[in-house]
Amino acid sequence: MGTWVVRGALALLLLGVAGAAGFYGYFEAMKRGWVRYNEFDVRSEGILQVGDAAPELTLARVGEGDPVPLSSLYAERPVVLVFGSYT
Amino acid sequence: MARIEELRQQYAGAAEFVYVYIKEAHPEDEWQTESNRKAGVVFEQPRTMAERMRLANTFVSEMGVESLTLVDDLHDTANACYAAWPERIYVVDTSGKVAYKGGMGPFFFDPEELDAFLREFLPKSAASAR
Repeated sequence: MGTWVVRGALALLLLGVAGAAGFYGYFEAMKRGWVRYNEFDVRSEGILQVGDAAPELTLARVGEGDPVPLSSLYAERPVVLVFGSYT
Repeated sequence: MARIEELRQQYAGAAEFVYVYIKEAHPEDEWQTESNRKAGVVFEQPRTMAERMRLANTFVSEMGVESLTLVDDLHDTANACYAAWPERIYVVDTSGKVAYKGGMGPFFFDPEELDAFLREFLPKSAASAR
């Protein structure tokens, strides 16, 4: 009887550890974008790397809408580009 | 966002901070989140440039953004070139090279890492410019 209780407890413990490890692994994979949350999850590591030439773009300034070439931003000082949205 | 603003002030004169507004991460008609609903941040994904510009304006005024803010086009060109969605930070040096590429948001969007990078990088950058 006692042996079965110990075996049962061990089995439950192993199941718990496996479940926790599985959940942790799944969450870590989601964080890194290896697993997608849903069809709208379009995260990507991209191919741009440190040392590469920054892609040159001309974007509209908020409000006025006048075009601003990115290259004009780092002509004098390094520029920190913070990409994001409201939501 | 508040931390980015702090960093902008901290490094004023040494680096420019520019926001690039890209496609919405959690619009109502795509992937809405409960936290956004509770905060009243409920918007549909802009479908025209005028809509995107309007929402970018709202973002700037509601978040108190003081930096220059640029708006990605409807082809999401900036997003594609910089693998930016949903949020990401880069630093480009004065020669036009990528000096820092931040992690993929939201989990690896890390203003503290940016701060550590700028602390080391900016003095060297200023010295080499002299």
